[in-house]
Amino acid sequence: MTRLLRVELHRLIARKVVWLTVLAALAIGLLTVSGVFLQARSIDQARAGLNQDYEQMVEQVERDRESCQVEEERERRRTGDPSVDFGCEGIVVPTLEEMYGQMPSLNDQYRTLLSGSSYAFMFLALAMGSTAVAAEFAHRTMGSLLTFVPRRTPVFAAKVLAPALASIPHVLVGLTTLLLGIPAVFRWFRIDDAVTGAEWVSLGWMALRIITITMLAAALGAAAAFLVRHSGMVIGIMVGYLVLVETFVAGAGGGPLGKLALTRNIAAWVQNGTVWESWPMSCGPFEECRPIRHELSFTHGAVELGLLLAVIMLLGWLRFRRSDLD
Amino acid sequence: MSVAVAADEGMAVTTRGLRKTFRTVRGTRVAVQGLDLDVPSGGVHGFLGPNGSGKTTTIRMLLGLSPADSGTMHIFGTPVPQRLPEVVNRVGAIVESPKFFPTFSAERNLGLLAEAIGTPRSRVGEVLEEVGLGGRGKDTFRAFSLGMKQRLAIAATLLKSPDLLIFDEPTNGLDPAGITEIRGTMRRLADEGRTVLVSSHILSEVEQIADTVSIIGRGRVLAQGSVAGLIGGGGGTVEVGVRHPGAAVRILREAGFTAEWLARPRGADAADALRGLDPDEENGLLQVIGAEPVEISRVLGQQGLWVERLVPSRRGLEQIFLELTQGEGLPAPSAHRPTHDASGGQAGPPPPSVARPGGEGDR
Repeated sequence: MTRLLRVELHRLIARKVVWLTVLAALAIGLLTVSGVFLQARSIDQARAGLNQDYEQMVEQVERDRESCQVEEERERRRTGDPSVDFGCEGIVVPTLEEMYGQMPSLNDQYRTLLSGSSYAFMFLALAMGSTAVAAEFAHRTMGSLLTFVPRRTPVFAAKVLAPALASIPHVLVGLTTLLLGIPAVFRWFRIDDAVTGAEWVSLGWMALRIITITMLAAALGAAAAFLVRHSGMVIGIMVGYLVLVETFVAGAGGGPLGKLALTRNIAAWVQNGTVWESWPMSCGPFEECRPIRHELSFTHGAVELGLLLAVIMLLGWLRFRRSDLD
Repeated sequence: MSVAVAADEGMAVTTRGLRKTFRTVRGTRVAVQGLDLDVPSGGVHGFLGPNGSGKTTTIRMLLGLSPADSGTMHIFGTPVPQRLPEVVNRVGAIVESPKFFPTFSAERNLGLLAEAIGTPRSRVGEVLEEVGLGGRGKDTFRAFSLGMKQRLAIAATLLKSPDLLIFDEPTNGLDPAGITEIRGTMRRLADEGRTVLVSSHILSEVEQIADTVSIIGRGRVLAQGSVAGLIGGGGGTVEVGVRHPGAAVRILREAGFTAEWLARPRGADAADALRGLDPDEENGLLQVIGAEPVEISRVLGQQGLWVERLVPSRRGLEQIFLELTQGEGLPAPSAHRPTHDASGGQAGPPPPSVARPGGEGDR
């Protein structure tokens, strides 16, 4: 088994697909960091360019407040009612952050962007895993290998495990790019922020969960390729599912169906539990319409994703074990 | 599939009652039906039959690539596929075309297979040398010609130093030089003491290198044995031109020869044919199997029939195959004319001359 796994890893590494996923993950990381850079730059430029405007606005607001207070005093004298209130205290100068927006904290940036990028890393892993196995069927080398190693179960296990391991480089490259790139942007624009020790621990766990789910996505892709034997079909089914089914399921909001949505369960896994809000179907004419808050635990995500993986693995293994091979 | 019974120790491959059906949109198609195959250890064994006769399916079942519906299979006495892992290192096989990763070099393709079976990587260079690809190890598989791909596939089978080599249609698509080369390689491997099981639908080609053969049609064995045994039981075929062919057939049959009147229409009942004999029939052409020309001449001469033409010819496997498959509806090369029995019994195929192999000494 170890020998077979080594062979599969050597074969995968020799193929371009692993390196292409690494490059793609790097590109995803750099694009995300560049997004952070653009956000920070726009805030920075706004601050620099509009400083003068801001000073003028401060003077204007102070003038308005004084004028308000004068009018208020005049009215009190005219009516003899000292309780007249024009609300002049409410005229206050907005802060710079209120005017030009504010960069989220470094910790928030990390959590949002790591979580968001994890879907892309998973997609890359799924594509790599399915391609690695489907190529064997396309080139009909699976049968050749089985004439050397006729034990189908160890062969299946090696071919599922190898893409899972081979997906580690690209997810590491992607995560490293984000973890180093985002604080670099903060330093570049002299945004004073830092991540506390506890936050680092939490982020470390999150990164570990992303690595794990990426590996599982690669294994899932490989197992699915054993089932349908075509990487295009695996990716097509996955994309089709996300577009057609997941939109509907996720659109079901907080009902039982909504909690089954794959993307929400992935989020629950990656973020160690997730929350979202849905709106009630109808609000009465005089009711205040408030969103309903829903929660999905990490355990729920883990169980649903584990079940999905187990089912696909089992089906892939059964098909491979029983089918005729060229 | 039932567990195997005791197998013949002297056999490289045996199958009993092997059956395989495929499901199609129109129902099921029987690919192999009750195949009883015996491949003796040592030498080249031709596994012959037309396209679609079940050769590749049988090989795939032997190699565990396709599960059988019923029947038993043994390789070197070991039941397969149940215990295939025990003997797989003694078996090297190429099923249909060579299959490798096109973008990998020959060395890398073989290196991965060597690693999978725990063979030292140094063996890769040796087997490449062995098949004449020593200088081409760095070339990618897709850059190889068909003949080179086939040689690479043979090299792959040699990584295990196998006792049994199974080649499925190894010369398909090769030019004459490539065919000769592969043929020579197979013969050499057999001469080294290995068993080479080669399937082919080109019977004349296998006839040149095979020691023993099995001929199959529609998924069952029609005949098997040594090549010499199958080709007229060691004798040849003699084409005889004689003025009164009907009488000549009768005389020769009475003398114990197998004689056929080639001029009779296809499928004619032999007894009726003899009853309707025209003693003055001209243009009579007979085929006499398993007799020497001088004996034919003597027997006919004694009865006052003078031979006008006497052409000894050797029956080939193709002719044997055609005889065996006559009436089976199997495809046959159009260039060959089937012969028809002009005497008693049915006009279909004669029984196989040899049922059990064992002709290693013939070569």
